[in-house]
Amino acid sequence: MAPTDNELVVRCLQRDEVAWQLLVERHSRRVLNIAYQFTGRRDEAEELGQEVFLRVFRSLHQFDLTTHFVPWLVRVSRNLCIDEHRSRAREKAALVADEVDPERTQDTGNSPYRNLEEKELEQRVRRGLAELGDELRTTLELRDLQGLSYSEIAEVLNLAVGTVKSRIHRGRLELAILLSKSREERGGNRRIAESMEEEPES
Amino acid sequence: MTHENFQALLGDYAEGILPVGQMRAFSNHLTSCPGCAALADAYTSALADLHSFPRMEVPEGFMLRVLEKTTLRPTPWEVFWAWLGLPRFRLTPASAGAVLSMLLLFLAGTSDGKRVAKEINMATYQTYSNALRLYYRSSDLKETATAMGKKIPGRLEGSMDWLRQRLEKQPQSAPRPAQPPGNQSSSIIPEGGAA
Repeated sequence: MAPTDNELVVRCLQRDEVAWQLLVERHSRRVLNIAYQFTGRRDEAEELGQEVFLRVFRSLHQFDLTTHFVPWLVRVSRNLCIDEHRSRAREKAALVADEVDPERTQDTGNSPYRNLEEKELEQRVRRGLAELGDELRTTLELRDLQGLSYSEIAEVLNLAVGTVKSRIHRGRLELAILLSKSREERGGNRRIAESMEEEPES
Repeated sequence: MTHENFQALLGDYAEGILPVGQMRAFSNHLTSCPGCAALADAYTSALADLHSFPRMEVPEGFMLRVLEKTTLRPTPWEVFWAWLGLPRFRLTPASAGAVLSMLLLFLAGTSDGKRVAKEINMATYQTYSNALRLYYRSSDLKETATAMGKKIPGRLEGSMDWLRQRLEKQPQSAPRPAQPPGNQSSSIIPEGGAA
C-alpha cells in the first residue's frame, strides 16, 4: 500500500530522501498546472514549479500533520505564484496574454489545426475567468482546473464547504454566460469573415 | 419546478450526480422552458471547456532539477550529533560525569596522565606565595630545583624573575633569612618576610 502524503512528510522530516522524491513525483503535475494557470507559459511555469518545490521543501516543518497535505501544498503554490505576480493587474494581464507559448507545439504532438483550436479555447476560458471576481475565479480554478474536492478547497481558502459549493455554482453560471456571449461573438465574426470571403466570387 | 430551483440543481445535473428522484422534474422543466434550456446548454459547455483546458505535463528532467535544488543529505555535523544521540550512546548528565571522572583517573594512572597531572599541579604553584616560598629557600632557582629534584617549568621561572626584580627594588627592611641546606624541602615562610 502506497504511503499517504502525511506519512511521506514525516519521513522527509527524518531526512528520508526517497520520501521527498516520491512527494515531488506525486505532486509535480499539480504544482506545474497551478504555475501554468498563472504564467500561461510552460517555460515560466516550469521555473515557477521548481521555486514552489523549493519553498515547500524549506517550510515542510511548518506543515501541520493533523491536516491534509494537498490543500497546504496548493496554498503554498498559489501564494508563491501570487508573490511572483505581485499585482492582480499583472496576473490578469497574463491571463489574457495573447503571446504564443513556444513550447506548446513541441510537446503536444498535435496537428497545427488542433493546436490552434486548443489555443483558442484556452484564451477564451482565460478571458472568461479573468472577468470573474477574484473569489469566484479562485474557487472555480481550484475545482475545475486543479480538480480539488469541495473539502480540500474549503481547507485551502479557509471557508465552509457550503460557501465553496455556492461560489463554484455562481462562478460556473457567470462563466457560462460570459463564454456563451464570447461564442456568439465568435460565431458572428466567423459568419462575417465567411461572407467576406464569399463576396469576390459572387 | 421554478427557475431558481432549476438553477440550483444545474451543477449536479452538469456533473451527472443529480438524484434520480429530482431528475424527472428537472427534465420536465428543461424541455418546457427555453431560457433554462439555453442556460443548461451554456453551463455544460462552460464546464466542458474548463475540463478540456490544456494541462501541462511534467517536462522531462523536471524532477531531477527539483531534487538538485532540494537535497536532504545531512551535513557532517548533523551526522555526528545524530550518531551521538543514538540510544546506545545517550547518557544522563550524572553518568556522563561519572564517565568523565573515570577517564581522568585512567589518564592520571598512565605516564601521560602523570605528566598531565603534574602540569596541572605546577600551574597551581604559579601563585605569588608559592613563588615566594621557593625564593626564600634559595635565590637561585636552579639550585632550588636541584634540591627538590624537580624541573622548574618555564612559566614558573618567569614568575621567579619577576619576583626577584621586585624584591631587589624594595628596601632591605627584612633580610632574607638563611636556610639550612638540609631543610630545603620544608615549606617555611619566615615571619616578617618581604612580601
